[in-house]
Amino acid sequence: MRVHSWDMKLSGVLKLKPKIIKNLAENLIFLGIAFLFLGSVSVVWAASTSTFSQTITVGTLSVDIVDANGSSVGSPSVSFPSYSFSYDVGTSTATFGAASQKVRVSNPTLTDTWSLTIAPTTTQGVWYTAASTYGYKSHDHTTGTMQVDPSIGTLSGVSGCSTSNVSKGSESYFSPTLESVTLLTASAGAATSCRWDFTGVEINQEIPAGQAAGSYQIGMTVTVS
Amino acid sequence: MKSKVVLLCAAFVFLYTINDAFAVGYGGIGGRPAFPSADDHRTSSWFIYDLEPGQQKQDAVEVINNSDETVEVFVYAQGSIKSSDGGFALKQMGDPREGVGAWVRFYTDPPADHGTTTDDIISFCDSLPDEAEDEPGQQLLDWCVGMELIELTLDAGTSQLVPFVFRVSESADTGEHTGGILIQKKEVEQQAGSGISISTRVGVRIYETVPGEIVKQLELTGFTLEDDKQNGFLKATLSLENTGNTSIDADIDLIFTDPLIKQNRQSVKRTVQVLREDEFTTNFELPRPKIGFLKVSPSISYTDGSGIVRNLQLKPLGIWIIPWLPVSLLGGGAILLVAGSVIMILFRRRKIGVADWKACKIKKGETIAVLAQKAGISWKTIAKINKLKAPYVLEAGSSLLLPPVVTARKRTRRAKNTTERNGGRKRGVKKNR
Repeated sequence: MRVHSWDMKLSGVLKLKPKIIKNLAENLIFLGIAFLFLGSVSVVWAASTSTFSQTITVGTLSVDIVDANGSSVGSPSVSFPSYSFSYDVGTSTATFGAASQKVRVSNPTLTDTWSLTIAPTTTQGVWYTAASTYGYKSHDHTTGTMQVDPSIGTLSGVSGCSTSNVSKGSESYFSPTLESVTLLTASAGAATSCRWDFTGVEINQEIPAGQAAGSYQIGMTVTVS
Repeated sequence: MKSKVVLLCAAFVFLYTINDAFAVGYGGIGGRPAFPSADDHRTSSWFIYDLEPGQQKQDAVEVINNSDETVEVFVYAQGSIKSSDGGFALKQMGDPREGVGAWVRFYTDPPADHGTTTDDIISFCDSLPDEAEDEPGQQLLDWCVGMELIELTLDAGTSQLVPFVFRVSESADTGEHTGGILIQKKEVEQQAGSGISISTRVGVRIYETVPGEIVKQLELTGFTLEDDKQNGFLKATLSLENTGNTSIDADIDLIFTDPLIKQNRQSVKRTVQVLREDEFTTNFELPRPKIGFLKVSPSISYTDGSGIVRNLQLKPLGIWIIPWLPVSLLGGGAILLVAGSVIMILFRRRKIGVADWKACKIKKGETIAVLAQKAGISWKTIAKINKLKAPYVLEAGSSLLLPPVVTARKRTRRAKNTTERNGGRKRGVKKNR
């Protein structure tokens, strides 16, 4: 009886060892389960055109006080140098927006216009210590006046952001009719999806004549809108 | 087989978790309108309404915590306040609620078991009787009043929608009214010692325009130009006053020409928003030329209520830029040079007695060598003082500066000749016969 070549091949397959068959079956089961799992996960696979998708939602305008590394500062503050008692009106000067406490404005929105202001947290606020107080908005500079000068501050864009159309505010005094000082104004055309750091804003506090010694504090709020 | 199943499960967990879409955001808290309009891109950041007096509208603000920690915040509304340079500013949390600040009421979840949600607060509240018949009813009426301020706790990276109803006052006049919804951290850690404690907050602007006769009128109230030598730029400050009843977008164009390169005409453009009844100031930092007279011309344009483009112009201002230090050094140097030269010339003249030299007429046959010999000085000195050039030929009758020795000898010779002609008698002296 003549045996053809394909008969010999078929008989070779039929003669596979049980171990090989077992491994083959395991692999097939593994592949089947894998396809079942992957089918339930909504993942876009790279096809021949290599298309991926990701949703990036627009963030919100915000302001924060950050350190040199960009990390939020827990208790931001402005410290004034020690001032000696005087029978005359005097001035103490501090810097708002030091290198270790930068004012950072973030605008990841599509709206290019915003403004940054500073104001006492309470309009009835005063510099206070346990025993005495003095003011920040005396119209005749006798009971304490605070002057803020953003014009000499330094504005810089983070990661190459442009500062075009972001202007610094003018030197201003608080008064009974002026409770808010403009630090920065972003006009139409200012960059969006950007961040800026503002440092070196000078704050001058006139201290009334004969003001009692003590550790005085006042709260100020920085608002971006 | 077992190891393959474990590997497969791990792959599944990995693939499933990376499927989440992450919002890209910066640190801190923020807020935005929850339901922006596709017709106005500004509504993605601001609330913009045009309601009639007494009209109300339900909306919501999305409060977002972009930080990596749980925060507690206050959410409240406030009206606008004047700021030093004009522009948008909002009152503080503790200030009385006035204007737009009083037109916003927030709503938390309604009292339980009352079959309502915050989906349609206005309709539900309008359906309630004016007076409650029982305590639950009273609770509902109280809830319908809404809250001026709410407190939220947001986990890191989460957001929450806060519904509110915006009710325009019956007495609101025509035109624009501004305010905002503020998101402020609840606890501000007070610093120890002295100084200023800083807190931060974010405001989501509200623009409500009561329909009617809208007046847009802008006036140019100030323009100054100053030289900020310390920082190396020129500071131009422009002030605008809005005397209309709605905000105006003004286009500013500052035109200036480089004093050295006349063809180099430049301009700085900016569009600013001047709020109703506000005086707005904007500062420009212009490049400072090294030297010359810089003239800056401001031009402002805006569209009035009738749609007509109005232009405001002021007389240009000019400023001289003189680098005093280099000019002083150059000028001083030049003066010193001239003075030094004069001193050197005088010194040289004095050294060789030039101050005493006098002008004499040259006679026929006199040469520079002969004159030098008579003076006992070098012929080169005579040539130098008189600025003679080779071949140093003296013309008879010409004038030459000569030392006193020569001039005295010449006078003596002239006197002798005169005496001889007078018979040996000196002039004025009679000869005894």
